[in-house]
Order: sequence, then structure tokens, then C-alpha cells
Amino acid sequence: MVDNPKEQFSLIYDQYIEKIYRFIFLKVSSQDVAEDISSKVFLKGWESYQKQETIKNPGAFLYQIARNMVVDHYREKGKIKTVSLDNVSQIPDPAVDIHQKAVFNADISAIKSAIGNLKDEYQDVLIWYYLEDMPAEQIAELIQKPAGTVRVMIHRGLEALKREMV
Amino acid sequence: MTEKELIAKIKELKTIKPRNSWVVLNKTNILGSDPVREQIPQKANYAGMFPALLSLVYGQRKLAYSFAVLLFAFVSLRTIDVLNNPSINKTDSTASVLDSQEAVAFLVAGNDVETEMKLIQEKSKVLAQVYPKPADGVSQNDDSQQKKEQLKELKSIVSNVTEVIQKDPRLAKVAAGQINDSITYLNVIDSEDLQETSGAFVKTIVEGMFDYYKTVTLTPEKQEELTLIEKSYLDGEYTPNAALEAILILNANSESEDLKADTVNDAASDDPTSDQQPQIVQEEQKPVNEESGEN
Repeated sequence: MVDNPKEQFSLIYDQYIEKIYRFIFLKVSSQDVAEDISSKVFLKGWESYQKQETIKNPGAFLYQIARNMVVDHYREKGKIKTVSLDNVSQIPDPAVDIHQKAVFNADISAIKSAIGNLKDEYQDVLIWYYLEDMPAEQIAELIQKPAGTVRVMIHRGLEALKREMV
Repeated sequence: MTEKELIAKIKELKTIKPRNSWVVLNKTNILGSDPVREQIPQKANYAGMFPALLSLVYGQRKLAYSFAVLLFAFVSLRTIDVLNNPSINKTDSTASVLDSQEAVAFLVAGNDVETEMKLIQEKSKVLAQVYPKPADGVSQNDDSQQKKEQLKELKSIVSNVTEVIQKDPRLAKVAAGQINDSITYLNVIDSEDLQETSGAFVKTIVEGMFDYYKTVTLTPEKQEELTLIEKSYLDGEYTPNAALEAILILNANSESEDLKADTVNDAASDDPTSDQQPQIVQEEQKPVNEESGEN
């Protein structure tokens, strides 16, 4: 077990950076903005971590910051949150940006765009449940709602996504 | 679309990942320094870590500035070229824009490979010191989460560069130019998994270099040497590491000869009456003659 807070947070960073980045990227549809917000999330996380020393659930803690930051991003910029096919074209071309490991084929762009068009609460539960394999109970804890409500939200979210994909 | 298909499609989004270089740089920026490096004073007393850390942070920035300047110069030159040649028809312009885009994409990719090669060098050096392969070859069974995470990070960068070179073998030359001691470090880290990734990495660079050399003109001697290396590699007489070493030596020799040739050409063009060129050629040939005389 590492005692140094910096090393502890370093492990948290390694464990969550991909998840938090992906969570944000799916909501903002731009690599630059996703990187910028992810940086702010972990910076804020590190600042809070230094003050609190122990954080019960680092994942929930970081996701909460990320959700707030995304909301702030749209509020500050006065942007209407829509993810259209035009926005999908902003996905970095892997042939140009070699660090972008994902292969964005048409199917992926379509599903990404469809998720972006869902209500925020549906987006969140679908991403956590299906993409990050988070159990419903943990999601319930994260959004402070009963687990049964989360399961209903997952079901409704999936139905809404199906309609978006048609 | 069935529910199952929809779920499968959502899971495909797992391929979205941040850039490795950004992940590392961001961590360094947030935590003030790289925690991997901080282990060194605890494990052993290695001097000079502070300058190395500075060089990592400032080196990246310098690299970014140099790249921005290079990109700006490139775009300016292309613009001047187009303005000075109004005769260029639309098709040519389109073709040249496409060429420019391709060239810029290659520059970007080359810059990224350089950055990642530097990261591999830095990280493999640290991990080789922290988790060295035991002399008796028996693994120390250190299954700590920290080791796993650090090895995973390094492996991910190595795999990424490997994939990139596989997609564009021209980048093998860039990777080979930045290889320094990375392979040596990678080979002495106590991780079988990493060894496998490292093996694929070396193999890809070697094969990429063979492809690269097919696109350039070598002197007959160098060509013969290269053919021999390639044959030995294909026949299994050379391991990928041995082949890479031989290629790097060949590459270094070729570059130093190019440099000498440029010096000679410059001298000759500065003074058309100069008779230095034959003298230099004679000087270069001298040891060869002596060797052949001895033999």
C-alpha cells in the first residue's frame, strides 16, 4: 500500500483517466474540449484529495466532478448541447492523429451521435452500465437514487437509444 | 436492431481512448512531477533525476514549439509556391492540397512517434532500474498494483508506436532514429508480457526499415550489406534485435557518408577551382586500401 498521497492519486489517475476522458468525450464530441475538461477534473480531484486525504469512492468522486464540469462547460459557453452528424465529423481522424487509438467507423459514429442526443440522465446510466460495466447499485449510489430507479432508467435509456438509432 | 446488437454497439465505444502522450503529460502537469520517477530515490540513489525531469517537461514544450514553427514554415512555403504559379490548374491545386495534407499528416505522425519514443526511453529506463530482471532469470513475483499499472502504461505506449508503424512503415525510420537505449532497457525489465510487446515492437521497426530502404537509393556496398542483413533476418540467423542493431549501424554509416558528401559538395560549390574533393575522397579510401593491402 502506498502512503504518499501523490502516489495514491497517481494510481487513481491511472485507473480512471480513460474512463473519465471517454465519459466526457461522449458528451462534448471534441478531443480538445474533452482533454481540457478531463485535465480540469483531475486537477480539481487532486486539489480536493490533498485536502481530504481519504476519498471513499474515487470513481464516484471523479465522475461527479466530470458531470459538473460538463454542465459548466455548456453553461459558460452558452452552447446548446446537441450532438449532430456535423459534430461527429470533429472526431479526430486516426490517420492524422496517431495517438487516437480508437477506430471510428460509421457504426461507432452513429452510436456516439445517438447517445449524445439522449437526455443527460439516460446518457450517464447507459455509459456507466454498459460501457464501464458499473453495477446498478453503484450507479444508484453515484446519482443518489434507488437501484430500482436506476434499472428503470437503463431500460428507458436503451429504448430511447433504439429509437435514435432507427 | 435488437437490444443485444445495440448493447454490443455501445460496448464498441470502449475503443475511445485518450492520446497516450497527453495522458502522461497531463499527469505530470497535475501532480507536478512524474510519480514513476519519484520511486528512484526510494529504491536507489540515482543522481541527476531533477535535470532529467526538467528535460522531459521542457523538452516536450520545445518539441511542440519546433513543430509549430516547422508547420508554419511549411504552410507558408506552400502558399508562396501556389501564389507564384498562377498557371497551376484546378486539378493540380487539388492534388497539391492533398499532397500537402498528406505531408502535414506525416509530419504530425512523425512528431508524435518522436514524442512517444522519448517517453519509452524515459519510462523504460526508470522501470529497468526499479524492476530489473533477476540475474538467475527467476521472476521476483512482484504483483503489486503499482508495478502492473506502470508496466501497463509502458506497454500501451510501445504497442501504440508498433501499431502506428504497422500502418505507415515510413515512420519506422523516425522510431529507429529515436531508439537510443530503449530496447536495452525494455529487455531488462522483469515482465514477460512486456518482453513480448517489445519483441513485436522491434520486429515491426526492423521490417519497416527494410521497407523504407526499398524506397531510397543506396550505394552498391550498402545495398549489398542491407541485402545480407535482410537475408540473415529472414533465414532466422539474425534475431530481430540483431537485425535492428545491424540496420542502425548501416543507417548511421549511410548518414555520416551523406554528411561527408554534403561537406564535399559544399566545399566544391564554394570554390569551383578547388581540388579538395579528390583529396577528401582519397583520404576516405585510404584505410580501405590499407586494409586490402594487409589482407
